[in-house]
Amino acid sequence: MQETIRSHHGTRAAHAAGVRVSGRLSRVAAYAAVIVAVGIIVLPLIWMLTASVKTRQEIYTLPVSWWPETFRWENYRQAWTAVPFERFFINSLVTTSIGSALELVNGVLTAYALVFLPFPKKNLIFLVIIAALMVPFQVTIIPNYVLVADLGWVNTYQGIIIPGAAVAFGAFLMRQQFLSLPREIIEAARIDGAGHLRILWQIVLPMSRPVLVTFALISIVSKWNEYLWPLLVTNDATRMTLPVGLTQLQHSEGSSEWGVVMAGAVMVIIPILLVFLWAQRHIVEGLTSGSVKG
Amino acid sequence: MTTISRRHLLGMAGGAAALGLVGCGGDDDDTADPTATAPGSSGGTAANPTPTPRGIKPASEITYWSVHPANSKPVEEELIRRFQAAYPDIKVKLETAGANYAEVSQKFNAGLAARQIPDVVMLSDVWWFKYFLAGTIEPLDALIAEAKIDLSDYQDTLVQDYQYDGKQWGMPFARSTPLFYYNKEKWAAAGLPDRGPRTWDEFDEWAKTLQAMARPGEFAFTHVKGDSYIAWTFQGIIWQFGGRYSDDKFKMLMDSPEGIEAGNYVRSQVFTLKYANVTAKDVNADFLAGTTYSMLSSTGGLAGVLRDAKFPVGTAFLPEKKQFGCPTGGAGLCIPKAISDEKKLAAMLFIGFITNPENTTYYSQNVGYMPVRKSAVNSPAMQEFFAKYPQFKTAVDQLPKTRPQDPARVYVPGGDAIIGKGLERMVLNNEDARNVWPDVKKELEKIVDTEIRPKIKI
Amino acid sequence: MLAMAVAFRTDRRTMPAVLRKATPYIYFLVLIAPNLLLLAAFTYRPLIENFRLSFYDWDLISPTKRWVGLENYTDYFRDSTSLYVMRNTLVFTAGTVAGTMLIGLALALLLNLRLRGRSVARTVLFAPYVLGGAAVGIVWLFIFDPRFGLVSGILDRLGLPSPNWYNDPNWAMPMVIIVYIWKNLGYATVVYLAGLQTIPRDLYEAAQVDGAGRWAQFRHVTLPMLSPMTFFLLVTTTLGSMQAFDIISVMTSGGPLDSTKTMVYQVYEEAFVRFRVGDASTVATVLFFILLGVTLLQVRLLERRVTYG
Repeated sequence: MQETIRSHHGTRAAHAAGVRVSGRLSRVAAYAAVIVAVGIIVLPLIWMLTASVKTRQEIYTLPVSWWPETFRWENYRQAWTAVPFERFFINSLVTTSIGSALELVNGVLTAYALVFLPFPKKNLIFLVIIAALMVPFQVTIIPNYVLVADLGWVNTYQGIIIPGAAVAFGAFLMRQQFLSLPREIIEAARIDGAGHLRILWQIVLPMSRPVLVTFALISIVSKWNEYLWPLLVTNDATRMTLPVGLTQLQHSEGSSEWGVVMAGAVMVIIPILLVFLWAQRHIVEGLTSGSVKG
Repeated sequence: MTTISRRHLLGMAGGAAALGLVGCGGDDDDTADPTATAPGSSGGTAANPTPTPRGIKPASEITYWSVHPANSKPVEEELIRRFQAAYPDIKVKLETAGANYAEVSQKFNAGLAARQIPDVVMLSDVWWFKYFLAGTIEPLDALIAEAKIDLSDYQDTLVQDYQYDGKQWGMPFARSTPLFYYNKEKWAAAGLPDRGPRTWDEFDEWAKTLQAMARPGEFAFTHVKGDSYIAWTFQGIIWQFGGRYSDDKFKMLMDSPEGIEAGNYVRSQVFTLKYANVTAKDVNADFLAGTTYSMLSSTGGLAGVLRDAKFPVGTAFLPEKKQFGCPTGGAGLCIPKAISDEKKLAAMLFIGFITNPENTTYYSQNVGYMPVRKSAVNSPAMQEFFAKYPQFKTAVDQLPKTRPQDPARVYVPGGDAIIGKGLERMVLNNEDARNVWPDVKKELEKIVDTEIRPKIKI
Repeated sequence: MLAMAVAFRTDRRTMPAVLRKATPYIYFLVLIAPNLLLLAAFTYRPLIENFRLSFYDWDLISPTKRWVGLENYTDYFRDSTSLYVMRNTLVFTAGTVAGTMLIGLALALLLNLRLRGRSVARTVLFAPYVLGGAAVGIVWLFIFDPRFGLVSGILDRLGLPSPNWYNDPNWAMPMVIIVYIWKNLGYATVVYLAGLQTIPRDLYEAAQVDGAGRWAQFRHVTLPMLSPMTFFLLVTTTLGSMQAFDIISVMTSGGPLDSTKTMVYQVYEEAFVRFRVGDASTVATVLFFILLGVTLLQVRLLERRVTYG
């Protein structure tokens, strides 16, 4: 059984490293395309970065200035000190990591059951789960707040985390992935007498690593940026998360100090980008143990 | 918390829009002495024992939900520190309830449903009435008396804005008015006198000259939009033309000849006289960039504008037409009904304290809103402030001439948005006010009939 | 733990027949239960409550509600603004879904090539997705600003007229569509990239042996093998677009003149600005059934065509 998996993975590992580009012209074209695409998409981000070190006057000057006149790193200091940034950061870290972990477990188990375990009318159950994606947040936000308050979970970590631990899109994503796995391998393992847990842990999950990591990334991003729910559930800095805390930098009447707001936004997304950079390897490389270099 | 000097506070608040107003900051008198009793001050000090009417003692801890308008959190924290120094038995917990008034309202709604409510909540001019309709905020008259607050010393319009049915439902705190801002450089270049136009007719004349020298994309005047509260700035204009949005009994009046004339006037500024446009998003930004030479904008942004402008900024009363007209706006403080009497009393003491003359002076100078007390205006500290910032004095001088807002905008749920959309039809789509106002009227009347009439007698 | 306990029990020799038949079913329930229970508590319960509220007239904070039966629904379908908002929602969704998926696929294919620096490129492309919706709205507010914005600057350079994005009802919708696509490209790209990784190499080799060129390989190997992800993306981006809120709220507040108001924004406005919970619930319910219908359609039409392992 191990060999079958290994050889299959070996093939995939070779592909997982990407498609080789043959021919000089193709290479140039490919690089050009990437540069153009990245360039277009990155422009607003560059604007955001340069704005984060500008004074408000500079942002509002004509003609549009790209390079900041002065590097007002003060903006970052202001964003950091105007709100208890470390506390918010820790709160976000806790709620995001636990929340995403719970989502992952829920999603994987649900998907496994939907794909590999028998049950009458499974597709109906699948649709019922998808239906959860059709409920806009305005519908859930107040009833959930009432429930959370009744449970005494206002201004607590569990109040922020538990309602978000249920997952529909992740279950959907993993279901699609599990369905695309070659059946023979699973059958072979079953015949060998492996139980479901073993199959899940040793076969299904390793073969689905790219998609699993993707699931984790999307979940982390969504929880890290959550705003309205933590705003309702938390009252003070002891449990407030970053997005909620940072809106204190904005101004409700008149113009905000946009440079500082942008600095705050940059500080919020850097951790996630680092996570993404690190996770790249896992999306791309596939199996590291026992893979045959193709 | 250790004593914080004003200069340190200014440093902390950094980018707060209002701090430009104080500029160098350190020269003003230190009005932070909580034990001084200024004339007309109220609410007790360390020297006076806290009142215990009805045998009730104020609660030992209260929660205050705020939006920190104009990045005012450090200022609010200082006010709390002063209050706690004057009332050592009462602790105040400041909580950020949202980034804008809409979010505070959402959180308050959720809180009411889940019985997680604060003791003092900041509600803006268009939000508080809904909570009154639902019976969830407390009438303050008895509490005001108990806390020995001198209501007559508050600016009349500001207090009247929160009165209904003979009762007081909130206290003014962060209040503003629209102001006519103009770019003195452009005025001088056009050979205009260094003041605001007295009437719209005068401005039409001036605008001709201004627009003649304008480069493409620049305008003599810019209107705001629905979501930037054109319904608020226009309220002044419709009053100036002798009309109103509605009377105090919710009878809709915007489709009167005066209302139509006012609507078509702003429309003509854009499409016929062609000296005005409508802002894309932020009219203050347009003004600062020099693409518009004048605007009607909130006094709440005055500090930021003064600080960021690269040209001298002039301010003036709103222009008149047949008469003067100017509304107030901003937020006030309300007390929920469903809390204990002890908490209500403590809440009222807190509100009274932070709106007493020396504290409203402090708040207004550091944040940019109007001082809510008449006696504060005349204090030496304020007079010195005015000498340094005459633009601010204009705003304060205009205050006694203001009127409470029309119910159509502030009492009808969603009224501001509906009127705003109607105005957008005129200034963006060039629709005749004759056709637009009846639609607005109908929509507002429907809401009044279904949501207000069943609840209160009007 | 429970799973293991159940696993122990599947010892065929000691179990009665009935239990033996039902055991895999129990397994299923055990694995699904935590998720379903949470969904029930935090999603389905409010949904049903929402459905119930659509038959009332309520302002969210009064202790009393007024029964109105189907009146909210008849009012809704007779209201021209509501129908206009529905149209906006469909236009917005169609534009964003098509844009996100097509460009996302193209980018995924591009970034699947073994080019240098692609990790960095992927991170950059994913970055917009990582930004919170409100921050995205603010950044693009400036980009589309008619005076200081990038867009007008570029259009000027190209000699093209700059539309009045914010104040022209015809241009506000394209503006928010562009912003939304920009933000969500990363999502589609990443999902497609992951899908591309799982396509076995030998399929391509077999196709090449059969004489298939690159385009044919794409059509006969890549696309079919990606179909589970395509299906997934189609459903989720449709559902996501129809419920987009943050960007519209920050950039246009549904304006000008309701031209960018979508059904979800209408739900928000009715509930939290106008305090008309009955009306809000009505719109939310209608939206729910539209989403359900659209998804069922997608499932029915497309899942047949999806190739699974």
